[in-house]
Amino acid sequence: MTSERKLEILVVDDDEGHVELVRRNLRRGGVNNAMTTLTSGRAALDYVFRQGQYSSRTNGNLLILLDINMPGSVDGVEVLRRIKADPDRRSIPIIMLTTTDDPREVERCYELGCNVYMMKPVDPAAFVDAVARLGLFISIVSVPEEKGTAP
Amino acid sequence: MSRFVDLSIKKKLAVLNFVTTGATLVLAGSALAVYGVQSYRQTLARQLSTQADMIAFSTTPALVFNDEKAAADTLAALRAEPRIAFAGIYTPDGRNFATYTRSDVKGGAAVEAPERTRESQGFQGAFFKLSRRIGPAGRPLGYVFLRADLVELTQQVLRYVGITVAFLTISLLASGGIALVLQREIARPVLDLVTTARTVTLERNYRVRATARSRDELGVLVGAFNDMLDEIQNRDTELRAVNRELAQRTQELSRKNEEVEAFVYIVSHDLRGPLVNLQGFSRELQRSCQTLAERLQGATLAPNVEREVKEILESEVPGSLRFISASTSKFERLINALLALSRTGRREFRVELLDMNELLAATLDSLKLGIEATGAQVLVSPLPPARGDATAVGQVLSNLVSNSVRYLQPGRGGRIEIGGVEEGGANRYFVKDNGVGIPEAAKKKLFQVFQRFHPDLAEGEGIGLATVKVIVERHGGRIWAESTEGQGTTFHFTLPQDGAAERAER
Repeated sequence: MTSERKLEILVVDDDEGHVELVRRNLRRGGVNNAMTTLTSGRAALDYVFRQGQYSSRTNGNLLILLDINMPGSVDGVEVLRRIKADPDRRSIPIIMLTTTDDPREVERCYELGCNVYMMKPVDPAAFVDAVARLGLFISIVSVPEEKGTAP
Repeated sequence: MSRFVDLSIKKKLAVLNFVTTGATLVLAGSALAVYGVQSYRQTLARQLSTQADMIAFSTTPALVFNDEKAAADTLAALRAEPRIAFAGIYTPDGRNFATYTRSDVKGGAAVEAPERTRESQGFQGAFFKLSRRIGPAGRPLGYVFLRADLVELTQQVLRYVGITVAFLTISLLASGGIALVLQREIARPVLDLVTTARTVTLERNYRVRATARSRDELGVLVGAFNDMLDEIQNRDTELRAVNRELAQRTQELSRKNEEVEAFVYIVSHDLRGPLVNLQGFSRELQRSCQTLAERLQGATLAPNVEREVKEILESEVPGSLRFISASTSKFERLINALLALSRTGRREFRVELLDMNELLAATLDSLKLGIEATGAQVLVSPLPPARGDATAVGQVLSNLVSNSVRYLQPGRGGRIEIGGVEEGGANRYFVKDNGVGIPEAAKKKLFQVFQRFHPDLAEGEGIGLATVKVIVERHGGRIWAESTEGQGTTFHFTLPQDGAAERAER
């Protein structure tokens, strides 16, 4: 329970409606963790790697809900790839959010090491269940302190 | 003989030349020799006959006067004639009167009795013998006998042979030289032709040409060969152009296909984004209304306000939400259908020999409940085996049969016939029903996506026939329908026969 409370949930989706729905669903499901919402892959990378405008954020345990399809050069798959390629951050649990169950996309996410994928619209019960499962079975790691460069 | 057939043209020509020249010379030489021998013999016979007559004439007095010495002297004059080896004069009773023997002849050869007393002449072995009467026929004085040997003739024949051989040798050498030149004239164009033909076959180079060196048949042949090459080169060029165009078109087509697939994918994907919001926030609204209704439960409101609020919360808002929800659900089904269709076009087929009877039995089994519910009669005749992907072809059968079942004419006993025949290079299968049929106006759009012609009869997104068409065409087959509205529909589709469907596997 303590680890769950410390867990910070990062929701990344370019669709503000989706972000809001996820936020409401989580709250309704009884999840009271700190929640950060971002609307681009670039911002998500800055946040996770504590760079750019997020260079001075406090370090905490993260659970990332990541939309697969986002505009721009850094989409969800790219964010996933970059995090999984980093030895210090590859164990951050990531739930991929998709709008289709297209096998190609799902396969690509699993190949890159995502833990769970969920199809939107997200069913609150299934969602909370998945989050709880991840919290229970995946040890949340602390990202080591880094000397972030001030913007 | 077969060895000769296998020789190169050059060698054949050489052999022919040698044989012809040799045979001609040998024949000519032999003819000369035979003629020479013949004429020598005739001359000899004539000359010796004259000689014998002369001896007979000049020895007549010697015989009359019984002067043996005079006769011997006359015979001795024969020394001047080296061909005569022996001569003798005999009395009519066969007694020796006088003889002459050439100096080199050993011992006078015996003269047979008949030859001493009878006229005769002829060749005998290596000799020519001749007897002549001396004196009148009725009362002969004696006989002269001459014998010549044929040494000279043998020498002459040997000379002939020598001359022939010498000529033969010289002729062969000369004709060999001439043949070499001629051979080159004949063999070279042929060899050129061979080289050209090899170049064409081995390098597939149709630009080379053989050189025509003459206007004879070989020149004509070379010309014809070159004309043929022209034709081949033209066709090759055309073929290459057509191939290039075909490859280009195929590439273009597959690129367009990919574009369409990507488009369908992106569209359905992007359409889902807003849809998620519509669905999600509809639910949120529903929840909010529920909460609001619960909160108002205990509140006291003016009766008319309460009635109005109640109307809004219990009827108007849920009604609006039902419409939104129904539309979003429909929207989602359409998108899913599109995605499924695009997936059918992409899925890799595993082509194998299919027992269509087995496949149909399994299909009918899975549709059993629906068929039984309509009470329709299903008549199946044996189907020929085809090559295809089992799942996909099963999908085709299932779609067509369930369409027939779904669109039966209400109030008429349903009857569905399924069969197949081998036709040319493909098998044609059909599913025939006595259902409602297809409206004339709808026939053109029959296989298009989202087309529904009897929405009152059955649920669906209208992608069944579009999917079926994609599957059949990916197998290299064709699908079409024959239908009379109100009477029934027959769907026909073709599939490749065994061993004919490599192109379906891509």
